[in-house]
Amino acid sequence: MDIRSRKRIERGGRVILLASALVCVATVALITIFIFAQGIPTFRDVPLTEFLFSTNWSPSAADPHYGVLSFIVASFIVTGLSLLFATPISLATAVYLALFAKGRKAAILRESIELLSGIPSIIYGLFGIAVVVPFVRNVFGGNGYSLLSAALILAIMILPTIINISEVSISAVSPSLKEASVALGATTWQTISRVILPSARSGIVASLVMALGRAVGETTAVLLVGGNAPLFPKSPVSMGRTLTMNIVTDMSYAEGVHMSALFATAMLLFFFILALNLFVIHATHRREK
Amino acid sequence: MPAFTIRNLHLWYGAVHALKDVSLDIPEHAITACIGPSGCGKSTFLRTLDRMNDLIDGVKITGEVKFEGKDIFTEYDAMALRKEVGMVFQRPNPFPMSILDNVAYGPRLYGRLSKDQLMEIVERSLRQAALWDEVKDRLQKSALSLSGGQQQRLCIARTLAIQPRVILMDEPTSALDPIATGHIEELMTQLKERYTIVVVTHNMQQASRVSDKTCFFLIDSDRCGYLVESGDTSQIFFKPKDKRTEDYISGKFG
Amino acid sequence: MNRKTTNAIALAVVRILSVTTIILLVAIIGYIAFRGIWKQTRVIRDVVPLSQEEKGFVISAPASNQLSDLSWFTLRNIAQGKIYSLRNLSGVDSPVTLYITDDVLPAFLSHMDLSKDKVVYQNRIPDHVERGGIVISSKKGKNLKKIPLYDEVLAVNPTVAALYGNNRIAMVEPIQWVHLQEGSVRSWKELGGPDMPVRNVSTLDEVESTEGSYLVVDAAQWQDAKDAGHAITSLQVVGIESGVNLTWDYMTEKTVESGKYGGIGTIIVNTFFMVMLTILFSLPIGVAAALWLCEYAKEGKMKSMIQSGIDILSALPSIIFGLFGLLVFVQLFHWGFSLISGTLTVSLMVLPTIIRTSQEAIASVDRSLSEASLALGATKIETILRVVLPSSKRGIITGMILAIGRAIGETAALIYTIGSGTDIAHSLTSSSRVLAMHIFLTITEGQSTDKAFASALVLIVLVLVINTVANRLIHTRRR
Repeated sequence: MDIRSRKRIERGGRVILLASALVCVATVALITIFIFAQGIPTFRDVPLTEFLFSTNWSPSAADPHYGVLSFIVASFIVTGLSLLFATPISLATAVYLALFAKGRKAAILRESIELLSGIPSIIYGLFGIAVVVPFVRNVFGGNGYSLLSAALILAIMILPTIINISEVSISAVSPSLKEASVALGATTWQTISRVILPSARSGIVASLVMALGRAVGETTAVLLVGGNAPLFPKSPVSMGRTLTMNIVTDMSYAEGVHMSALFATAMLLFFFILALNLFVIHATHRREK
Repeated sequence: MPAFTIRNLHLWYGAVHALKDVSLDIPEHAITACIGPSGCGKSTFLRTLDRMNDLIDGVKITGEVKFEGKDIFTEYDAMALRKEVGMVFQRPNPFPMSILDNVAYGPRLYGRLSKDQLMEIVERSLRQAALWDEVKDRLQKSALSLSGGQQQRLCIARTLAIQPRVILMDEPTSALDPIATGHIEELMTQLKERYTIVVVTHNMQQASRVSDKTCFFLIDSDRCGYLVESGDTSQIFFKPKDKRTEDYISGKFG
Repeated sequence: MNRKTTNAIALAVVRILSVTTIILLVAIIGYIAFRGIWKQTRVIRDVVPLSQEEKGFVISAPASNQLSDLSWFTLRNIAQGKIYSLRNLSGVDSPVTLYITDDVLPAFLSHMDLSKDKVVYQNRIPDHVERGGIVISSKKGKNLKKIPLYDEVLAVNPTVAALYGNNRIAMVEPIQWVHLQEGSVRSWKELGGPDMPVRNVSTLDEVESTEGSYLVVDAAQWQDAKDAGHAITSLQVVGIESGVNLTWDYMTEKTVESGKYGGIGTIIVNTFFMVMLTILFSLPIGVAAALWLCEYAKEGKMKSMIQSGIDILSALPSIIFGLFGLLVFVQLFHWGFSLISGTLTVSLMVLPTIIRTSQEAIASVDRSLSEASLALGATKIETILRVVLPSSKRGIITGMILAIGRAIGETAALIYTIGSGTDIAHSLTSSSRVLAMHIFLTITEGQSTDKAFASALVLIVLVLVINTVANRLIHTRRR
């Protein structure tokens, strides 16, 4: 092939590669545009304060209302509880992997965490229905489908996220700090709790934030075990509906303002996750400086 | 009574023989220097004295090391030993906390202290480390805001706060500039009235300036470290008994 | 020393909590596998789970028809031709054929309380009994499974089953049935009924006349008494039907009526299509993007913008992708709920995964190789095609496999894009269900939980195999 056509291929190839790289950016932009385009018209009919702060969600009533506060609170409860349950186990595992585990034990543990993160959410949902819901029913009464059940399942799902990122941070703590602490006569646990964990703090917080993002966006598993009652959740054991559950449940028959309200809910979700991610990016950059 | 009595100490890293047949006494309230070329096991030897080598996998130690008459491996718990035998490292390694928290770290390990008790310990340690005047107005500031020399003195203060009997120093000034080095050397001389000091250094002038006793280590053809000669510093430097000692010293001085 | 005990306790807690992850993994996979392989369904029967030994005939059938037992009433209806499909019996979509040999016919008719002219059957048993066949003969057929016949009824006096205030015995649970047989139930109140002492009598007449009485009696007798107008009734007993859940047939048969009957064969084919198409769309774009980032991008606004775009895309929840797919592919492009809509949605979702793993693979190719190529006068594109890509093949494949794993397990993004048709997709625009979706719909539509577990087992095995393969690839690459 002559030089000219080779050069043409070179130029063309470059453009194709750049275009491919831009697909992701374009997708993010388009997703934002489309969802906002569907969601913003809601506020022609529904005042923003009512949307965010009213617990009255009654789209099919004669005088419809679209307040998503119940769902916001439900999402909070579910994700908050799941972080509460998952954090001790995750941090312990991260500490164990970073500082103690060697060879075979470490390999098995890592493999387990990998597999755990690969299990699809529908399987978690099924497991939740068959095992977690009856458990909650036996211990707390009611019918078992509750925000608590959703939180328990979600906790298992976010374990790998917290463990992986925290482990990296803990391993990155300078060994000379460990040495200094040991040389002063500290026990292993004192060194871990007073020096290593505080030093790894920003990485651990980042992992929690990422886990929070994952938890808040989870749909399938919470839908199957959360009870899906569009009421204000009075306790963790009551049935509830998270923001994601609301979108999925009503979308099949919604129209008009109702549908816009669902997209507005999606916007809310979108903003929240964007904020979380920007927080992590900002925190990482600050640390690197 | 000597602070440490070491008899026939051997150390292996796995299959590698790193130290062989070291026997010596370390006198209390004096500065003992360990000199010798790089890689001859001086640091390994030093770290044996506070059982920091326990942290490494596959280390095997034979022989006898006694601290104040008691065997450090069988009659001392490692943590308890480290309270009595403190260590300052080559690169200053303050914790990423405030100056106050760094010094208070050690004492806090051993129990709850009242605010007054804590301040007393902190002030005393910082004074002994000749750092008090420079930091007394900014104890809450991060330790990482100090200069290299100040950080190293802070690490010394941190060690002093647990009131050890011995301070081990592993090349404490090799990462510092000459002025800071001078400060540390002056500090060492002041400290020896209260503490026993063992210092590893590759700087022979420092050893001859500061120490009372000197131990000279070499490495043999199998890359194993051993003690060539030990004795009063003046004797080692001006009338060494062993030819190898003489060669090393004159080579460096020249 | 107190410090030492705190230390020991704290470290022990760390170790115990760490093992928790392994325990959870084993528990989840183990449970799904157990329920997927072994089904235990509650069945409410008009007969009690007791089989008399001597009937004069033996019932057997091929194991593939998934019948675990027959009730007297059911068999009678089959014999009379009133039931002609296994659908409602065992969920298998096959027509039923009854075979009765001449030597046992009299015993059969007598036991089932039927006359010959009412019975629909064949008397020549083929060598190979088809799936829907049920054989009545003197001994168990070759290669056939023996089917027990439950032909006794729990007859009770009407006072037992009546409504008292808010209480009425709905049905007798297995454990309650055991207690009843043992004789340890004092009052019907313990079974949820009236506060009346339990009386075990010995004839149907006594059942009719004594309050609180019960008798376990032949179904034929009971039926006769009922037909003759006696005032007796019966209680339903709950049984546990166990058997093998996931079978080869289930995996290969086509899905009938939204999964109520049949297997998941068509769904597995659809899943395969979806995966292939996803790779077709996302692999080229993903690898190309990774190439641009590694080989052409210079540090600056463009590069960080693109990198941020990838990061944000990978953090978005799948429901948002689903909504996007709904708006754009389903509605705007008018493709409706279809294979293409769902696949494109999933392709966008897995794009970041492919880009990231490809980036890592491409970046780890030795720079000196590229330099050598350029020094020989090759263009950058040629270097990429001839040197860089071949060297990073393994990492790229790993990324592809990980993406497949993610795509297979996806539900939320597909609910409103891919549709729910159960047939094999015949074109890109057909509505077609995939495996994870099918499990979801099986559960939400209230179909058999056992089928959900069987499908779930298939899904989880697929996902585990895919992930393990990807992991092995990653690890061998590092060495």
